[in-house]
Amino acid sequence: MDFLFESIDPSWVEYWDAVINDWFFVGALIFLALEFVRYRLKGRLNWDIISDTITNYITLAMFIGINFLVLGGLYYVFVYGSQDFALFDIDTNLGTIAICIIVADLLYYWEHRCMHRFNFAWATHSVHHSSPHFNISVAYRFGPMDGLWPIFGTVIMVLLGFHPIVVAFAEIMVQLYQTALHTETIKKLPRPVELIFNTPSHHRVHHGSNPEYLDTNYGGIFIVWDRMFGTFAEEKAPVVYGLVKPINSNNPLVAFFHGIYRVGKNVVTAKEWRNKLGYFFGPPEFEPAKVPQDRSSN
Amino acid sequence: MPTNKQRIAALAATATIVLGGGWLASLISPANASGTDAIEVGNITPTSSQTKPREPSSKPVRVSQKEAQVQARSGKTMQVSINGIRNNRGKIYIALFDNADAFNSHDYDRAVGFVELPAKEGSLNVNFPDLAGKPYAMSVFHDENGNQNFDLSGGYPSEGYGTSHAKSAYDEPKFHQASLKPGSIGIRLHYLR
Repeated sequence: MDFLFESIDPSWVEYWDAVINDWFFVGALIFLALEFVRYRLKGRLNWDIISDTITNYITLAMFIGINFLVLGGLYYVFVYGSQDFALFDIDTNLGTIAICIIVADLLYYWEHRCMHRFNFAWATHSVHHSSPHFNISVAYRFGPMDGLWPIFGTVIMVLLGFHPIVVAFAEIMVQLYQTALHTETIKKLPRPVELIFNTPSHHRVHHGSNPEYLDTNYGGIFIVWDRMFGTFAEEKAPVVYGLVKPINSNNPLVAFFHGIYRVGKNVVTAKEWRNKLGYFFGPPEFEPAKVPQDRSSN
Repeated sequence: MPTNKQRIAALAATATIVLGGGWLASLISPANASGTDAIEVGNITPTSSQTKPREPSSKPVRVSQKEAQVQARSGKTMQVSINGIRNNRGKIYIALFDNADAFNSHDYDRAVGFVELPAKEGSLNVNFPDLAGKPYAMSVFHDENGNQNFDLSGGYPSEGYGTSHAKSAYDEPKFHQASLKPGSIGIRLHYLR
């Protein structure tokens, strides 16, 4: 078992991070081709699905552009700034990388949950949920500020003492695991797997606009967080994918900016400060108070 | 929809798991840390062909302090204090040069003194006794992962390093700037990662 505790040079971790990420993308494209064959066989292949898929990859390109131009510098400053204040002295080896992935997954759960429950974050994450379809290309559908929210988890893990490259690796593993779940082809996996791990079935539920499926199954790799924290739902009724109020557009710009536009418009046009704050910090279902004097507290 | 009680319990559980995870990870120390102290220094090689700051090239000569004492009796002593060591992992390697060419080209074969010490957080003191009254320059690196390499990634050091009289992490002084006659000097380690 010594290999678990053998020190690993972080530059190797960085190398494998890049290799896995890139080849995963290639694998996802191949899988997407198979998904299209399946759509064709089921007679479901149409222009809507094709243009939706193209839109997904255009949002990915814009997302990567923003990450490079704007968010990269922010991560650099915060990660290297917090490295000196690490709480623990943590070595880089397979054992600590495994622990880091579990911690990254738990922190991802909260990041993801917050992205669904605060309007200002939902403004960007709703892009990912705005596709009415469910295939692996949807996993690459990102909103403009989706790259910002992981920074809290990243900084927490660096402050714990994990090497920044190990943290990045762990976060990519969580992300790639979830990417692979975006498919309708796999119905249910064996019971123990469905019990512990996030699966395509659980993640279909997460993408559902059915009332009983809203705000559930936030987990990345493990579904146990949802089971523990009361946000789990089992796939029973057929899932209706997309938003409660669909965007009905495959225009990449509409898809990419609809959330920011919606929240911005709501905040600007709202009458009272309380409503403006609600539209910004409140949950997506926030409705302005019609009779303000009704609510004394809260 | 979770209740407030569930939310608070969930946050408490999360804080416990995150802190516990960090603590547990800190207990997993490198396997080779408990191994033998005698490290073969023969295979110190740069992991990248790019020549950025001082990476040891092949086969450094290892001159222990005792040997140096035997070689010359009535010499002067260089007292080196290495500062800014960030943890106790791995080893600190210190090489002493009296030759400008050897120092500038990072030719560790021609180092006149070579000391390895277990790393100690904070600072370490090393003496090179019995030296001549001429200038010497020193180059230090912290082999944190114990692989006996000064690791680079993307051409930049991924382990701590330092040079006598270097003004900053990006200062790469030549021998005439880095050298001094035996006396005392502090060398600060720089970590880019």
